[in-house]
Amino acid sequence: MKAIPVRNAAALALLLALGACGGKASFELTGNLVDNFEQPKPLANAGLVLANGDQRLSVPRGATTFKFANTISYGTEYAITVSQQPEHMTCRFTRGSTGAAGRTATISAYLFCELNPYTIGGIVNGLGSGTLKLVNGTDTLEITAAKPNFTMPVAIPYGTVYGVTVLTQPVGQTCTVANGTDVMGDALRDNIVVTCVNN
Amino acid sequence: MKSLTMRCAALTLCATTLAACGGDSGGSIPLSGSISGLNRGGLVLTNKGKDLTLAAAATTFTFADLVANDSEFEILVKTNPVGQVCTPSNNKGRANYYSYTQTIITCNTDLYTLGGTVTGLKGAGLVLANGSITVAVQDKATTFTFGKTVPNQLPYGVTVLAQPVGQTCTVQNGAGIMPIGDKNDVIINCN
Repeated sequence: MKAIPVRNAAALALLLALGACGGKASFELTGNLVDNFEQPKPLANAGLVLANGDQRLSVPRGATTFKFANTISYGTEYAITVSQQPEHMTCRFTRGSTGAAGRTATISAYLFCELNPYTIGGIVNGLGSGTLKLVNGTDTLEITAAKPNFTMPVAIPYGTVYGVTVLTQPVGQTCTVANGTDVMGDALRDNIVVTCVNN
Repeated sequence: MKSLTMRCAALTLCATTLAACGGDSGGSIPLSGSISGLNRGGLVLTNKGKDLTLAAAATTFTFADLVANDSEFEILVKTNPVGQVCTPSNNKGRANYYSYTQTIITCNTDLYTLGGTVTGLKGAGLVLANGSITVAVQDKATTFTFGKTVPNQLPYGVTVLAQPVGQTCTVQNGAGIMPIGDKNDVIINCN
């Protein structure tokens, strides 16, 4: 009879010890670069610098994970921030960037980075009573004379080609697009001019 | 005897507490997940014999029948939409607080070839674009193709990103809805 309570007590003690702090005294400060679905996404550009307190960490182009050089001890508060954005990109932590070491078994922050997107748009001149439908790749926009200024629904990431043209002409008119095709830079474009004339 | 009973009681209490965080075992978990890229009707998911038909532009899914805590699940694609292939990931496990929303269904739209003819091109440097996809057209070329890059049943629009040296090219018949198949009727006229 004596052996059974001893085993039970030992099991309980083990569970309590594991539950308390994951059994570790120091913790690595790590994270993942992820897409919208928290799947690995390699960093597209150079220049990213992360910070925790006065520690800095440069994350190279192509990285899908990061790890600070110094570990932190159990109970230490941490707050990882983006100290410098990659070229033409914006990164933000989606979760796990702040806390106290030991609250979770491992520290793993999730960082989402994307090329800066900018809108494209312009003005339609001469549109009659019909509806004009513009297209850029698979992105479309219907325009009527009531609102001749337009912005395409999908913004264009830095460095990406766009090409706006007419998908559907308005009834009785033919519209042509000027300045509709280019490579996106570091600012929005509102210089597309669509001119419609009667057939 | 007394201490053994008390210890057993303590363990039972622990077990009860753990079970409480996981929910009860009577079918309380709404098995669900996210969908990326679905752009038409026809997707049917299935889990252990229970089917779920998705709406055309669904970005999430939830099975109607609640599943029990710790019950096994495996969410599969039973029927793909016509012209799309949907693939599940993180789709297998035991249902609990951490796993019940973990499944991701990624749908890719079948790509087809878009191309056409070029007339009058003499110089080098012509680059065509369809959205973010580009193709460089060699001097004196009479045909071009974007290759297998255009998703079916979705719009496309061909434009000129860069004109050839000393010439201006215009696009005719350059926009439309991609069929479930190749399309080869875009015309580039260069003067």
